[in-house]
Parts: sequence; C-alpha cells; structure tokens
Amino acid sequence: MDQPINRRSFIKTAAAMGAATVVGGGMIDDLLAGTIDSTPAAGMADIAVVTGADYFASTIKAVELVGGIKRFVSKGSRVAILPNAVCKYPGTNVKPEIVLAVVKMCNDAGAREVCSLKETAEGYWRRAAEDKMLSTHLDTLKFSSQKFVTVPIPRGKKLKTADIVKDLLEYDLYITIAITKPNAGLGFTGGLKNLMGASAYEPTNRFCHFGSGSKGWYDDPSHLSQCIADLNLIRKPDLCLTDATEFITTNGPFGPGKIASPHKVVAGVDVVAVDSYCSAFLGLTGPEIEMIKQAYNHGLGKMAIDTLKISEVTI
Amino acid sequence: MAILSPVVVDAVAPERATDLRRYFPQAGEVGAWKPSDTAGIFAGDDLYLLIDGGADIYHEYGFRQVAARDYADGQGRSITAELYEMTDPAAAYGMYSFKTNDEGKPIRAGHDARLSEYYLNFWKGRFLATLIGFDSSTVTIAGLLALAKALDDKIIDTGSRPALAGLVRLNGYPAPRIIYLMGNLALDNFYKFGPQNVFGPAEGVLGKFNDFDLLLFKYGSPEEGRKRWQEALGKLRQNPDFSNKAVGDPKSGAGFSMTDPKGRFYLLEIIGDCVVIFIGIDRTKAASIQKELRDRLAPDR
Repeated sequence: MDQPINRRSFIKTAAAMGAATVVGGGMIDDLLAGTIDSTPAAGMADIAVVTGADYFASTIKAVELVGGIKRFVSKGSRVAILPNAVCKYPGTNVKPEIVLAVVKMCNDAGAREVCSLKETAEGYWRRAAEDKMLSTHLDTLKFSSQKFVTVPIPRGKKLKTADIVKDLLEYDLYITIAITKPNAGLGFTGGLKNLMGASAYEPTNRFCHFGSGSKGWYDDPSHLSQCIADLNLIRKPDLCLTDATEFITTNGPFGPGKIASPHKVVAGVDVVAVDSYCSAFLGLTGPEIEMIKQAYNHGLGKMAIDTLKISEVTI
Repeated sequence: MAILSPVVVDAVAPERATDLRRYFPQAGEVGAWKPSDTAGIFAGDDLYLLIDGGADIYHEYGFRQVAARDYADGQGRSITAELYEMTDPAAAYGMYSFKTNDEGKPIRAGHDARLSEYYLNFWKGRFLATLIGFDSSTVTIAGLLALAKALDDKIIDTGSRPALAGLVRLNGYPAPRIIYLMGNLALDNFYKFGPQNVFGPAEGVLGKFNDFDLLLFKYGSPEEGRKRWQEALGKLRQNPDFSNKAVGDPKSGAGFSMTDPKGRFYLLEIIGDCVVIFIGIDRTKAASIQKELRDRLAPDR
C-alpha cells in the first residue's frame, strides 16, 4: 500500500486516471476466457461447502475440494484477491481468517506476491495482527496502489466502459472473496457485486447507480443489475470464495442486522453458480436475483444449482 | 488501511443545522465507557461516506445528517453510536421501523426502542439512534443501555407515530409487526410488485401478522387513489411473475386477486383513498377484515 486512501482521494484518483490509460479489448477477451479450466476433473466439485467453527481450516478444505490451490496458483504467479471488507459491523465483512487462509495457500503454492485490490475497513485486521499465526500471513499481503484504467466492455448492454483497478488486469490470477449478505437494492450481495469494489466510484459505480437517470442509489435496480453483470465481463474470477459463516440477514449491506451463523465457507470457480448457491442462505434463488440472471444471460456461468456437483463437508 | 475515515462537513445550511455532537455523552457520564474518537458528522449526500450502499434508504425516508462516535470501556470492548437527524418524526419513525422490522426486545428509550443481539435502536422526535456493540456480552449490552439512556436524556424533541401506522392494527388480532413505508426501496425489501414503482409515490404501511401480511398505501385523495389503482392494475396485469390474475374476487368481493411465484395469494382492493393488499390470507378471513377496514377507511361509502 502506498498510502492510506479515503473515498475522496479515491474518487479524485479515479477521475484523474479515468481517461489517462485505456486498455484494449483483446486483453479483456483473454481475461474473460479465464486462466483456469472451469470444467471440474473427476472427483472434483463444482461447488464446495465446508461447515466448521475454524474458518481458516474450512477455507483450506473448501479450496481442496474444488481442486486444491495448485490447480489455480503456480510457482511465481502473481495473485490479486478482492475481499469484501469495507463495512464495520458484525456480519458485514469477510472474516479475516478466510482472507488470510487464501494468502497462506497462495504463498505455500509459490506465488510471487498476493495483492489485495481493495482497502479494508478501519480496524479490520486488528485481531489478525494480534494473532501470531495470522499476522505471519498478513505481513506478506500487499495492497494495490489503486491506480485505475479505463477498459472497454464491448459486450456490455448498459456499461460500455469501466474504470477499474489496473492490478485486476495485470495479475496472473484473480480470486474474489465475497460475503453473503442482503443488499437493500439488489436483494443479495456476493461475488458478482464484489467486483464493484475494484471499480472507480467516478465514473463507473456512479453510472451503475445513476446512469439511467435515477435519483437514488437503488432507484433503478434493473439498470444496476445489468451494469454489474456487464462489469463482470471484464474479468472472470479464477477462484471464488464466499463467506457464509456469520452474516447479516437484515439491513444489508451495512448493518447492523440480525445475524445468521451457518458457519459455512463456499468455494467454486463459477461466480454465477456460487452466487446462485449462496442466495439460498437468504431464502432466495438465483433466478430471483436480476444481477445473477443477467450474468447468466452473458454466459458468465451456471445458475441452475441442481445441475452442479456440490460437495458438502463438515470439519 | 482505512477508507471510512469520518469527514466533518457542514452541508446542512448553518441556520438549520443542529450540532449533533452535543447529544453525545462525555467521559464520566456512562461509567467506564468513554469516547475513543471525535464525532464524525456526515450530512446530505455524504452519508454514503459512512455507510456506502446503505445510504439510499435513509434518503428515501428523509435524511438530514448523522453523527457517529466510538466508545471504549478500556477492556477491549467498543460501541459505535450513530445519531441520525431525519427530516421529521415520521421519517425517524419510518427508518426505525424499517431497521428494526419491529423485532428485538422492547426497552425503555425514546418513543420506541428495541434491543437486539448486539445493537439497539430508538427514535425520538426527528432523531434515530443506533448503538452497535461488537459482541453480545453482558458488559456490552449494559453499555448499550447506558449510552441509550444518556442520549435519550439529552434529546428533548418529541413526535408521534404517523396515523397511518395505526391503521393496520385489527380487532381480534395480536399487534402486527409494523413497517412504515415512504418509498419503493423500502417496499422492495419486503415485496416486489414489478421492475417499476407500481403503486406510485405513496405513504404506506406493512403489517406483518402471524399468518398473513396487510399492506396499505394512502394517497392524497380518493380521486388520486383511483387513478393510482388503475395504473397499478395495468402494471400488475402485464407482470409475468404473477399468475391466476382475476378482477373481482367472487368470494371476498375484492377488486383484484393474483398469485406470486412462491404461491402466495394476493387480494387487492381500493377503499377510499387507500389501496389495501392482503398477502397470504385465507379468503374467508379476509372478508371479515375487509369489512373492518371499509368501516375504518371509508365510513361514508
């Protein structure tokens, strides 16, 4: 991390960088194809769901069930991770243990560096920093310098260009680390929505919320849903982790709200499938959530859970 | 690493601005709990700096400014106190009802207060206070209650619940959970009637009973109500998510009925200047409630 950044400087940086650097569409096509074969080998799950009180261990087990970290990370590779950890209250952020388990696995597999694309809420790492084992992994985590580039989205239906963190395009692998929770406008927050954390508020996120002429952030959820699906055309995650250990079920995305505690960590390579699966934690289904439906329509993944091989394990 | 640094702003016009900081208890006023930072104030559109995507619902109800301050007990526990100044008591009550969903344990603070597992909400006058502990220990809960009392004592505003909120209380039924609605975003969190705002700009109330829900939208006049009713029926007829649509339910006499994708039955009716919607109700039970509501909402008809 170069220096602490707040939303104001974040916006200024985005605005300043927005038109400065433009990435060609060919590079996006390469990223959209993904670096990982999403077809699971024999015995490998499409989605792994691990239940347990030790979230660090659950994360490692979940990744093992979808092929193990070496399926994704090779020696010397550079890994970008995107944890959803910008809120403050219980059940609104990915557990630090889950993020740090990913960091550990990447390091063990020989990654040259692991970089978080997004800043985290104040105090987020406090407990991890006090834990000897977790702090070891935290010390190796780099933070993005938050430089943004403008990328075209030729297949985007509403969002035709986006300003996103340059590191999202430059790292060899992209791992999304989302949390299941409700969103007042979209109904659900997961891996697809998480990518907004790597895009600039100005102009991209502002367009997603207000681009259709709406006055409020969620006045036009259809427009926002389509924009999020379009945004996900930029780069498919190579690995998706979703925290369903403890999360709010009301007053999302910020909370405070009622907490559900299924103690589950979910992993997969198909962000649409993982989101569709996780929406059930809130009593929803993938097709009920327009953002998931539009991502499916873009061919970004599978929405029908009953067609997937799901491996559920308790540790 | 933080991105949510409080920013002190003065976006509220000086002559109308209330200095929210004066309501926060100082060191020594709530036992061991002492302020651990200065109060950050976020006004108008800057609310998103504090709560990002959670800001819109406050604006829908009518948001003016919020102050947030952290307290610590010196033993590693902390509480964040948020004091929201809304535009009027109806906005404060509405946001309170939306946030609490009328759940949690009722406690004495403000006009209404509820304590949940690790947080507490109360409203008083045009203010809504949300106090959040980061654990549910006895010490933290005691801290939440003490801070709520201290804030409550300093707020001298008064206000009353909007009259509409009382209209979904029914004779012979336990008091429902009540959510007061001032826009489509709040409604969408409970029921989606379509991609657009089907019932138009309206004050509304949702009563959640044990085995059914009752939704009521109130318009400025019976004429406006009829106009909105016709527009809403047009949109509902075109919405493929609903099935079994019928005008004039023969058993209840309601104006329109339909079934949602989850199989829940809806009965809709216009009574005076209100649109009334029963969800998940038995038709026979609905008929007796309809009579009560017709007597209450349009006694002269």
